[in-house]
Amino acid sequence: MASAIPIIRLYGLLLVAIQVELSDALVKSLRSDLGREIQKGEVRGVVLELSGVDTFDTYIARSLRDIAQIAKLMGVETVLTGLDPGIAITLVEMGMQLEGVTTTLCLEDALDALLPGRLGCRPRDEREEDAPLLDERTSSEVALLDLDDLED
Amino acid sequence: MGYVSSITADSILKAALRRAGVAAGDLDERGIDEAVVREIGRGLSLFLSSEADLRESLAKLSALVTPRVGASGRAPITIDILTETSIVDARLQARASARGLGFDRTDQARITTVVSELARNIFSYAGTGRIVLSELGAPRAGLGIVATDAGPGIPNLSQILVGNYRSRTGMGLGILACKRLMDAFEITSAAGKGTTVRLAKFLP
Repeated sequence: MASAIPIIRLYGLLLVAIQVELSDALVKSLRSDLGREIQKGEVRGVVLELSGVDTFDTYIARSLRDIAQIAKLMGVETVLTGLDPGIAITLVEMGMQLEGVTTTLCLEDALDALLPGRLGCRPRDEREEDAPLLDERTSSEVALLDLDDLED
Repeated sequence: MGYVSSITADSILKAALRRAGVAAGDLDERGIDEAVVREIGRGLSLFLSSEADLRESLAKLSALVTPRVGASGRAPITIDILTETSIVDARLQARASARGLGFDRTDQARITTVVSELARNIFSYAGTGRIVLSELGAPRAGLGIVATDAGPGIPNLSQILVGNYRSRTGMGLGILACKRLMDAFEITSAAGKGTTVRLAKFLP
């Protein structure tokens, strides 16, 4: 049995990056662990980072929505971020709705949404202007990028 | 085969083929399948004195069964759904099959989601069952998915399929989702006898 999914505290946020195959047992333990962690106090928001999730059946979708609603009842906003396009298409085709759940494209946007004006986070358009151009990156970074592109 | 003479063995085989509906001439090409082995076993049981002899003979015959294979030679994959962890197993197998057949990432997500959904339905409502993934050759290439269980059946299937029913656990949505995500969908369910869902996703 895989161990529980780690919950990281960061600037008053609870950050959960799901990088494992989500079994029902893991989903259940995440739900109760998050509830307990929120109860400890000083939580400004929950971020569920889902770029590592590649199956989103109705149970998982419902469970994540439930987690967001549970957090909401405890006074904390949840943002889902990093959904794979294939997963997004699948969810829409299934008719699965994530009512009342905020979603963002990437982790930085999620942090912006939950901590506006904090962390030195700037609006998305400013950030992109400053992003390093490809030729400014080191050669090892470029090599990694190429590998990622080839994966599909 | 113990003391069964060659003449008797010949007649057992002929009778078995007849009952399994296989012409003797086709045997070289088709190889023996499970139905033929079963019928040979019935014939042998009349001649073999001990249960152990029969089991041994059948085991040898079963080893000869040629799996039916698709165009690229992949044998069907059977996933037994026994526990909650089988749901994850089914998902992983489905993703591997979909990727192996050349489906794009979106179709892989659709296929994996459907198999996960079917596995969960089996586990939640029937307890145990199985899912078979097989490669489809003609007329259209793709992946075939068959989920079977011997559970209680789905009492309000027609309501679910027109979208008028949603259980608290969301099963209605699960079955409809499977239908929407696949290219072919067929479901049969009988009260007390179980449910079989056949689906197919074709390669573009």
